[in-house]
Amino acid sequence: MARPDAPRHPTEQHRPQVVLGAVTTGLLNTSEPLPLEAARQALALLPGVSADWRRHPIEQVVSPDLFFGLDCKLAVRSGAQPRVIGTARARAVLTAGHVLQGSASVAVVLDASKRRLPWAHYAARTGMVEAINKADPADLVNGFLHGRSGSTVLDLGKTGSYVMSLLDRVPQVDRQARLKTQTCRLLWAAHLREDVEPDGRVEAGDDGVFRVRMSTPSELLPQFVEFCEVLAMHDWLLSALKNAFDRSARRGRRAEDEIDPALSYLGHIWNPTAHLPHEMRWLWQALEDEAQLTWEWQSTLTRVRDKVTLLTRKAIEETLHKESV
Amino acid sequence: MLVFSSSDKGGTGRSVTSCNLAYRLSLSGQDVAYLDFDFGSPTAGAIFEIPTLERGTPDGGLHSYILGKVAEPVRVDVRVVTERTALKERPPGSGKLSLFPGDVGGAEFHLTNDHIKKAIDLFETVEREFDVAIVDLSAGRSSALDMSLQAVAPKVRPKKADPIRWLLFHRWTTQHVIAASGLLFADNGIIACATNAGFDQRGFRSMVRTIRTAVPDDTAFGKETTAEQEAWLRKSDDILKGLAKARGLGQDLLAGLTPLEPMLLWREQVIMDVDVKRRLAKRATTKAFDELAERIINDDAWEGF
Ligand SMILES: Nc1ncnc2c1ncn2[C@@H]1O[C@H](COP(=O)(O)OP(=O)(O)O)[C@@H](O)[C@H]1O
Ligand SMILES: [Mg+2]
Repeated sequence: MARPDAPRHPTEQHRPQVVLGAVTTGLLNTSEPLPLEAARQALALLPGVSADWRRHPIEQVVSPDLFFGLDCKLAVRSGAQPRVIGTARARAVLTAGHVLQGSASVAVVLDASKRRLPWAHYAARTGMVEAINKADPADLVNGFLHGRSGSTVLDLGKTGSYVMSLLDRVPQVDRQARLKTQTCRLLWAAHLREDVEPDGRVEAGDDGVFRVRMSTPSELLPQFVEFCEVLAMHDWLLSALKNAFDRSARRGRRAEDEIDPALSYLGHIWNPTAHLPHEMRWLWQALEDEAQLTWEWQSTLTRVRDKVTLLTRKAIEETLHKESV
Repeated sequence: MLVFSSSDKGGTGRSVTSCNLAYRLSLSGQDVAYLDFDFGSPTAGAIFEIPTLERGTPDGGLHSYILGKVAEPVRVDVRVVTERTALKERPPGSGKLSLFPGDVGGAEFHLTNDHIKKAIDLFETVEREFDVAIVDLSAGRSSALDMSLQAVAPKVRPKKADPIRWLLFHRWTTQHVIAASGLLFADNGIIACATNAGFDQRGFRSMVRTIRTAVPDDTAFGKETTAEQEAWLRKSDDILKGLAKARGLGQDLLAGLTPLEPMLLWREQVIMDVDVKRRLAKRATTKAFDELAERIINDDAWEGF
C-alpha cells in the first residue's frame, strides 16, 4: 500500500470534484483589429508553441495554456477556508482581432494529501489544485461565486487580467484603442458529477458580474468553459456598444467619434449560437428566455444605426444647403 | 487624461476643489474617475456625501490596491451611492462620475517598484475607460506623489498617450504662496522629483499650473466696506501677486482661482447649480469651477492661448 502522503496518480478517488474559473473580457489595446497573422504571433505566449486559430465563422486565436503556481485559500460560505496548492490554467483568446479575453481555471481535488507535498507533485498535475483540508464541493462553488475576496483567497479574475495584460506589451499592439471600454468579469464554477444530467444556471449580479454554476459530468467541462467564454464575450460586447451609444450623446462631443469605431469594430461580432458548442445551446436558450440578450443587442444596434442615418442625413442636408447658398 | 492635484499643506482646498472639478467635468460630458491618493486622509467620500465612505472604504481601497492586497480597487458610481438627492441625478449629455476611494486608516508607505507598477496599471486601466482621471495626492512630498511621477514618467508612458496635467493648489496668503513655491521649486520639490523620474525640466513645467483657492474679495469685510478697506485689499492683493511672481508662481503658471465660498467654510461639499439657484452659493463659485474644468481639458486653453 502506498503511504498516504506519497504522490499518486489520480485514481477514481482523486479526481477533481469542483472546477472554478473566471473570464475577463476587454478590448485589445489597439487602434485597429489585429490581422490574423499578427494575432497569431501576438498570442504565441509561450516560446516554441504556436497559438490555435480558426478563421470561421469569425477569426479567433487562442494562446497556448499558461500555468500559474498557487498556494492560497478557497473562499467558503461558512467555516474554515481550505488551503489549496497546485497550478491554475489560463489562456488568452482573441476574437475578431479585437476582443481580448483572459480565461483562467483550476480543478480542485478534495480528498488528497493532508499536508503540502514537494512542488514536483503539483507541477505534474497541471491546472489542478489539491485541498489540504476537508471541504464540501457545494460550499466551494458558493464561496467562489459569492464569497468575499481578499489577498489570501483564490482570485482567478486576477489571473485572467494578468494574461490579458501580457498582450499590452507585445509589438503588434500600439496601445491606442479608439474606444473607451471597461473590462468585464465572469465567474463560473462546475460541480463535476458523473451520475447526473447536466444542469446549470446563470446569474446576472447587481455588480454587473455574470456568475455561472453547473453540475455536469466531467466530459462536458470543455464545452461548459467555452459557453462561459462565449457568454462573457457577448456580455462585454453589449456593454461596450451601450457605452459607445451613451457617449455619443455627450455634450461637446462628435457622435461619430464614438459610434464609428463601435460599429466597425463590434457591430459584426455578435453571433452566440455560432460560437456555442452544440451541447450547451440549451443553457444559452434558458438565458435568452430570461435575459433577452440578443434582443437587447439588436435593439441597441438599431438605435446606433438609426443615429448614424440621422447624422448622415443631416450632413447631406448641410452640404446641399451650403451648395445652394 | 490624468490630472494630479497636489498641495504643500493640508487645508488648501485641494480635495474640495478637485471633487468639484470632477463633478463639473462630468456635467460637461466627460467620463470622470476620481482617484483618492490622499492615503492618510481620504476625504472624497465625505465631499460627495457618501455615508459609507466618509473616511475611505473599510477594505479594498486604493491604498490596499497599491500595497498589493487586492487585485482590483473598490469603485463606486458617485450618483448611485451619494446621499445627496440632487447629486443623484445625471443630466442628459453628462458623463460618468466614479470614485475610487482610499482606505480607512491608510497611511504613508515606503515606496517600492511594485507600488509604481501598480500605479502604472491603475492609470492605464482608468484611462482606457474614462476621459479624465483626477488623482488627489497627499499634502507635501509624499510617497503617493513620488509614485505618481514615476508612474507617468516618459520612459513608462507611451509617447502618444493623452496629456498630463499637474495642478498645484494653494491659498491666497503670503505663507501659502511661499510654501507652494517651495514644494514646486525646492531642491527636493516636485520639479526635482520629476527630473529624477526622467522628465526633462521644461517638458514637465509645461504640465504644471497653480490654482489659488478661496480667494477673498472686498465683500469679505462685510456689507459695508470702507474705502480704506478696499484700498488695503487692492494693495495686499498686489503685494501677493508680486510675491507669487517672484517665487515663480506668476500669471504664466496660473490655471485660475476659486473665490471664497461661504458654503464651503461650513461644509466640504459639491457646489451645484441648485445651490446657486437657491441663492446659497455664489454664482462666481460654480463659474470658477466651470472655467477651471474647461481649461484643464482644452489643450489651447491650458496653454493659455
Ligand atoms: N473656495 C473656497 N471657499 C471657502 N472655503 C473653501 C474653498 N475651497 C475649499 N474650502 C474649504 O477649505 C477647507 C480645506 O479644504 P480641503 O479640500 O479639505 O483641503 P485639502 O484637501 O487641501 O486638505 C475645507 O473646509 C473646505 O470646505
Ligand atoms: Mg484633502
